[in-house]
Amino acid sequence: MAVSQHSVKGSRREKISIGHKRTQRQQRIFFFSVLILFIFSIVMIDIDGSAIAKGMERLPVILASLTQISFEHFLEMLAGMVTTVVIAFLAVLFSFVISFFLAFLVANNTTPNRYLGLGLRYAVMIIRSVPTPIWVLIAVASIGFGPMAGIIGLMFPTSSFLIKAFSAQIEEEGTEVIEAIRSVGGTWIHVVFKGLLPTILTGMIATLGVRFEIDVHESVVLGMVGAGGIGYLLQSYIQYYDFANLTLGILIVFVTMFLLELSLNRIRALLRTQSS
Amino acid sequence: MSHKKVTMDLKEQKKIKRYFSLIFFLLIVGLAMWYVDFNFIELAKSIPVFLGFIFTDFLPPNFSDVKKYVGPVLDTIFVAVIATCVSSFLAMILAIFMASNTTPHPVFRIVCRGIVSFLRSIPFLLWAALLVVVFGVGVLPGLLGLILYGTAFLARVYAESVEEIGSECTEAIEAVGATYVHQLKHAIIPQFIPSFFSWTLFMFEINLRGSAILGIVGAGGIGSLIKGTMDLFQYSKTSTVIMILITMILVVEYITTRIRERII
Amino acid sequence: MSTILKIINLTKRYNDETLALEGINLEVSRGEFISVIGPSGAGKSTLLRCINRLIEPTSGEVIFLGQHVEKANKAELRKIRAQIGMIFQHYNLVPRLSVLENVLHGRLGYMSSIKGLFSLYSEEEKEEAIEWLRKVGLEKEIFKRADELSGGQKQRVGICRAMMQKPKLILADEPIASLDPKSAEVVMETIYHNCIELGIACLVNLHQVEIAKKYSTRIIGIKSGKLVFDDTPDKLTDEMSRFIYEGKESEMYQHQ
Repeated sequence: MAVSQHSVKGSRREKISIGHKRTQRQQRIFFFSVLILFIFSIVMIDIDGSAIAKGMERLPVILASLTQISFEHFLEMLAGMVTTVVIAFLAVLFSFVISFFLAFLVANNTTPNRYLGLGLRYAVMIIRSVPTPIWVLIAVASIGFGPMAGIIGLMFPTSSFLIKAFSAQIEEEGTEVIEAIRSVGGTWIHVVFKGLLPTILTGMIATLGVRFEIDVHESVVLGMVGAGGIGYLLQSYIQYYDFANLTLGILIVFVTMFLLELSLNRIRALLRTQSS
Repeated sequence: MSHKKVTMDLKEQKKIKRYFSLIFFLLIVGLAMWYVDFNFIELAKSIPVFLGFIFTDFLPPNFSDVKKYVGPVLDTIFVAVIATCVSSFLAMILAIFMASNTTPHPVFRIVCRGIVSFLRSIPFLLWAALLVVVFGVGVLPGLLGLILYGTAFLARVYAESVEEIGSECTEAIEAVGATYVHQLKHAIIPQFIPSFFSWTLFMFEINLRGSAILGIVGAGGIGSLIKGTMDLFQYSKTSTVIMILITMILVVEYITTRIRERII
Repeated sequence: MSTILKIINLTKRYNDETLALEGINLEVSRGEFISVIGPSGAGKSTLLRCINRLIEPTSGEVIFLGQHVEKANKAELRKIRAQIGMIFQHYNLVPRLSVLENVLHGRLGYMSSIKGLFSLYSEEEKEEAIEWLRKVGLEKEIFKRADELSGGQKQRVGICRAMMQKPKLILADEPIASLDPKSAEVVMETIYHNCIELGIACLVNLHQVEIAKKYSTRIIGIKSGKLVFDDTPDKLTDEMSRFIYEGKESEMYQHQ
């Protein structure tokens, strides 16, 4: 073949690199910097070797004790699980009411005042960056243990999540509908309820579903820091090495999350068929 | 005429259905409120107390101990980095077993899906609390807790991304007589890379928040500072720690967003 | 002329119900350029994919170079597939890889898992790939990413990939159905001339009768999974084409 003219066998010649340069370079930079970061972190972090060794010795015993299961506290745990779900449910519900209106104030195309929108946007960003359990710790410290602390603690991160998601959905709608309603003399309320709501409602409900799932998850955690529900029970079982009850507790959480995901998927599918 | 009547009936039916679902929904809300002894007056009273607490007890922040915070803050970042790297590696393997277009055998798929959905449904803080019992107080149980949860989370989203890759690429590679390994290397992986970057960066953001609260169950990092200062009612110090945390998270989010924008 | 491919009584059923192919008999010799015509849904694509078992045939025999494809185990099937090039309607390139990498994929069938895993193509293979890309007029696109190319360019990359296999047979599944008339002509010319020049037997699925007549040494007509015509292009009368496309006549000329 013509190729062999410029490829002398046996002699050293430059290898042909075959990849797409920019894509390849990007990937190499990414993986290389991650590797450096990873090694640096491993070196810097203080992990006690003897703790690992001891833990490994203890692990089989604990795993074995986790295979035991006790139904002694079954009803109590079930009640705790319901509380956990209810806390999440109410938190999402109230957050929806709050964020529904605030989202229209934040979204670029519907905000009555640009600076108000921008200010709210920054507030949301800061609230969102504080992890939920910290909100609940603060709530517990200020108003005491119990579901109310859980609901209030969840409402802040939930509202900020919803405001961000909703305002993005509103912004996707663009300005055409809004201008059309404005041009016939519609007010802000008209724009929101007649112009935008019908189209974005399904998207909003889907977002609520996603957040509800996250909040049930969070709500289990919150129980562990003092907001009632099953998390509190789980935490105390761990504290007193009560593994038989802990196993059942973990199973209850698993089954609940599983059923929740299943039913939310069904609702999502239903919404999709309705909207199309 | 009859046709019109039928549609009217349908409309009527829809209306009644809507009413029923509304009533059903309100019933659930009422039941939920009754179940946790909820009342609006208490809520209305609590929110001002809560906000007042933040603005009076937390502010102004007390910066006297900032130097002591450096160690735990760095630990928090290191834990998040290690957890993200390890779980993305493990999740990648699981995802290939789990995705319908790459699974070596349907049995693998079912087994992996089961494990992943179990691990994912349990909050990582619970894993961490349990692992504290095994490994004692320190960063290790927190790290392992994050890895357990993160692996499950990533395995699921990775698998979904892999499944989204069209059969066109793999079909051509299969047709030239390539092996399974070739298909993974030359068709699946190149197409999967953008979502891999994007999800892994997202996981890092989640892990950073997660790593920051591990201290609450005794697993080190910023969380232990927050818990520690709050237990001693030194709220002005708590607010300093929280401000550091907010800054850290916002900076990381900014960086990851920039990286995502540049991926092609 | 030596026989490359022999198909005996090939049948394909989907879900035990829909009959996609019914008792197809066909013999392909070296150097033949055969167009497979028929309306969409007639089973042309299924026929091609049954030959290299991208789709498992339900019954019948496929004999490639004296070897039973339908009985081949994994390793044997790999060897068979390596010698059969395939060109797709949607080009089926890996979009995020370079053009050169996509062409080199044609060599994977001859490589071990390990070698392929680390992309250890020999320098000769790389140069050959570049040579092929030059030949089809893509010398400027060699290091571009596949998703930066136009449809016609992508298909020419697909042809190079198939040629890199040094195939005895090429299966082209609607290679020009997604292209504009001008690119379509370039692509058909490229396939035709290279196959004739190198003596590669070729099966091309087409729905445009005119193009089939222009390029083929032989035309096969498929209607509802049955082979209804098998002769030289000049024997394909207008009545015959109308019969093959009965009910879907518009597809004969239409350029999707």
